[in-house]
Amino acid sequence: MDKIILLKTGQVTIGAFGFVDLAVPHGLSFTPLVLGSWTTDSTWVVSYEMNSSPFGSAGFTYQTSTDADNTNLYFHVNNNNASAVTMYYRMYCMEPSNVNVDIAAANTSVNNNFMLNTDNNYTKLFLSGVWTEPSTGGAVVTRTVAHGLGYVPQVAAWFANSAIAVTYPVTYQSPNNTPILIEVDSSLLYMRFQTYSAGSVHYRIYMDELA
Amino acid sequence: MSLPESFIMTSDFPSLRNDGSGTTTVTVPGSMVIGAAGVWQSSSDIVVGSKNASYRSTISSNKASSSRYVTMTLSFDRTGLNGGFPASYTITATISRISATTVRATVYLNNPYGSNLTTAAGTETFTFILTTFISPFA
Repeated sequence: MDKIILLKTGQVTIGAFGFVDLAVPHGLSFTPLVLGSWTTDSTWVVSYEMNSSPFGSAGFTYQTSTDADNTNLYFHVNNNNASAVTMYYRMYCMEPSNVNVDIAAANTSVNNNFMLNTDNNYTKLFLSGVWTEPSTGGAVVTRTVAHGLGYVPQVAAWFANSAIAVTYPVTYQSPNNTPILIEVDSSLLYMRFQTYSAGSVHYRIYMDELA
Repeated sequence: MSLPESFIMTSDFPSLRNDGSGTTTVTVPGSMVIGAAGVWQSSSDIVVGSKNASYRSTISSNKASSSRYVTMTLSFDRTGLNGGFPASYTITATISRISATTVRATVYLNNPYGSNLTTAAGTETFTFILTTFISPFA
């Protein structure tokens, strides 16, 4: 199963057509693998993932992303509206597969009694790892990880970009404009690097079928 | 021997719980003419998962790799025609919630030029596969 080692919640207000790079100290001795969601609704009835936003005729209403370094988790927001907005965020973190340290129990401000019930279908981690690739000099270099499951599994991936010293979940991809592409099929995970500095992919492949 | 239904354990660490899944497609016609600075978009909705569920998606295109991109938003640069000359434009596929349990898959492109853009030939179909999770916050 996935082991979530850290939970952080909070809120931030962004001015009209403004932006914010909110730093949230994580207190860990390493850079965690962060994921998160956000909403403008304090009741969280309608919430969004990072790099996912309401969409209007002018494009994304907000642009959001998250990443982490050795000290902080970050919540980045561009407000593309003519009015200020308060955003509520929830971030949770996993431990990279190349880290092996004792970790205190996940913070208890959210839920102080984590229950695992066999009635529930928890995500089942099958394979995790890190691949580090030197600069490709702008060329596309493809690396693969064989999972051998025979079906397309659920996957999560993060990219550690040495040029900007943060690790971020891969939630936006463009073959023309992003330094990493993550793809999956029924036999392989593909990591397509197109970089000008070294970068590492942290991947997690699950037993759970995609759909 | 007892069966393991409702066998409840406590843990110092939470985990993610599978919730729901769904698939939809959005098709982009080929050789469309889009007016100066115009926008084209189309969407399809999926009712999936529980209120507050987190989601992950993969997006694929019949004009790209046969594998699936693990992403919330996917953009490609394409080449059309503007004034009879090759002209680059961007096509973007993305997903977003529109209600507690409905997710909208949208594909859009905009004409960045001051006159008509004719998009690339050939129909392009984007396939979105979505899985939802109950997060530790729910």
